[in-house]
Amino acid sequence: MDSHVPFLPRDIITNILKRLPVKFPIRFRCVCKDWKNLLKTPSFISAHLHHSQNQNPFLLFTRFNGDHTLFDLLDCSMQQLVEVQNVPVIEWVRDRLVSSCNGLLCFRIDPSLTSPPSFLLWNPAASEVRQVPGPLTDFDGLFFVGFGFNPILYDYQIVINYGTHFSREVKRVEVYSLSVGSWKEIEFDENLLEGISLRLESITVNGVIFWLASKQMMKGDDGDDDAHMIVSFNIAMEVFALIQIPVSDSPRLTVYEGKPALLVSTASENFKSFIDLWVMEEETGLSSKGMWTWNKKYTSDVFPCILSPLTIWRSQIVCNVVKPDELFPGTNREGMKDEPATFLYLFNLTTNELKMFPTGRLFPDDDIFNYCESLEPLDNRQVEEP
Amino acid sequence: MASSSKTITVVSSDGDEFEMTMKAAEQSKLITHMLDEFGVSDKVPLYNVNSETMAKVMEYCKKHADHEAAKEEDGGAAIGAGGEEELKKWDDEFLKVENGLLFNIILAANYLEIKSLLDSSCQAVADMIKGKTPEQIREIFNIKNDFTPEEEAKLRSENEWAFQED
Repeated sequence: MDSHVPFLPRDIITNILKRLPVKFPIRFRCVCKDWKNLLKTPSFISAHLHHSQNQNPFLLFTRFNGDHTLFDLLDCSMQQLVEVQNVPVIEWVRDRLVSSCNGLLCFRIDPSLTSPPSFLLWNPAASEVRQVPGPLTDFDGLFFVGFGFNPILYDYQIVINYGTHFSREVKRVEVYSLSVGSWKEIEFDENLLEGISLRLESITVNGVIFWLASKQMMKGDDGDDDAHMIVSFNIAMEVFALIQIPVSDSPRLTVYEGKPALLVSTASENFKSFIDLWVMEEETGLSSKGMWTWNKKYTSDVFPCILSPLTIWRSQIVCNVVKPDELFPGTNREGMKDEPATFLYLFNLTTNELKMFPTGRLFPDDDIFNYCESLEPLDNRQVEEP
Repeated sequence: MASSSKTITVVSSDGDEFEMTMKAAEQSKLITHMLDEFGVSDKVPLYNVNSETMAKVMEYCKKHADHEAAKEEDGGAAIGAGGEEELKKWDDEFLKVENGLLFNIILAANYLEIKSLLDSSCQAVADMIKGKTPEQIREIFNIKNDFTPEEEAKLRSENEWAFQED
């Protein structure tokens, strides 16, 4: 043993180990009792998560191998697609990835359309799985799911909004807390959500779940006269809010630098398009109620193709592109026949460049999530420091 | 009266004195605060840092102070991405020392509040221990294994996958 090295205190050990992929803090639990205790503390897990989010964000893809669902991770700077190992059994149609939050993946399992889903929570990096039974109810309708972190209870929670089949209005809300391990119904302002139809997709930012939604303005055959907005749910406060959005088309809801953001692609004639990025900022002011304002952060140049934005990775916009051969002459046209695209496009907001890179695999263009490794546990959340 | 020509003196735990420019001293939040409190005329005692480590820290502060000055001179533009990469390469070489000194550099950077040095040196250790076995970790950090063989075996079996090589 090297007796010439000085002793390193806890905060330094944290500063070193937080930089490692999850596998290693797990491995090093058996170095000594001090390290085992340190590596399980909320402060270490939090430091590790924070570092992972900022330094090593990934894109997560799902695909079907004919049997069940597989997962690939892409680090865009390495352009290397890595298949996730030790995947729990996840069926392709029945099970659906709902949310990727702080290194935890939340899947809804819908064996039938008339009963609420059950859930599977998975931390791929730590290889931990937890089954969550659905709530018991005879409600016949649609279920809109969100998943996120409650900073007051220091706990992860699943939220189900029960919507009627026809109008998709929310009639009931139930919340599952991981530490309590059961469902509870919560009171909510029905008047606020009257006439509002939710969409299935949600994002979670800082303990608030956001769903795109619409309100039918006129009874018509199509949805063109619907007003689009966002419905938010503050997990800790258990309060809904309606947030107007500055766009009339249905945008892509995502996260930009830790804030909710909208990506809108506007197409003009001759298969040209450009992208707008709107970011939701909290209004600073005397009122502590937290008013929101939308900031048009960016408008791209017009590109000679249809840009279909998917999400944001490291402040770059990830897109699919339709009719790419005008922009990238000589693109392998084989991708346009029976096989879906094997390319992704990254739009750099600083340089205004659209870069294409091959991902080497086939993937459906809807199921892309942002992901980072974490040590967040799925049970026995430690509250006190040992 | 250019402040960059002023120098201050710091004293290590071994009693050796080291001179550094004001700009280099500004790399350390602790030294900056002490100078604000007590003025520049006195020698600054840094009794938590030995001479071997102090010499390395002085070298780092000078290099980074010179880099910052060059950036300011060129109007900030000329250094560019190439300059930042070069500095990073210099940092990597600078930290290629034996573990005892590296750990002391971490402790000094922590005490003196030199964030960039603390980040680089912690990252250097992280890169070094990535992929190592628990036995190797104990050797590197001079840690005694206080688990019984049974306890350790149980911990390993709970997460066997984490012990496999990539």
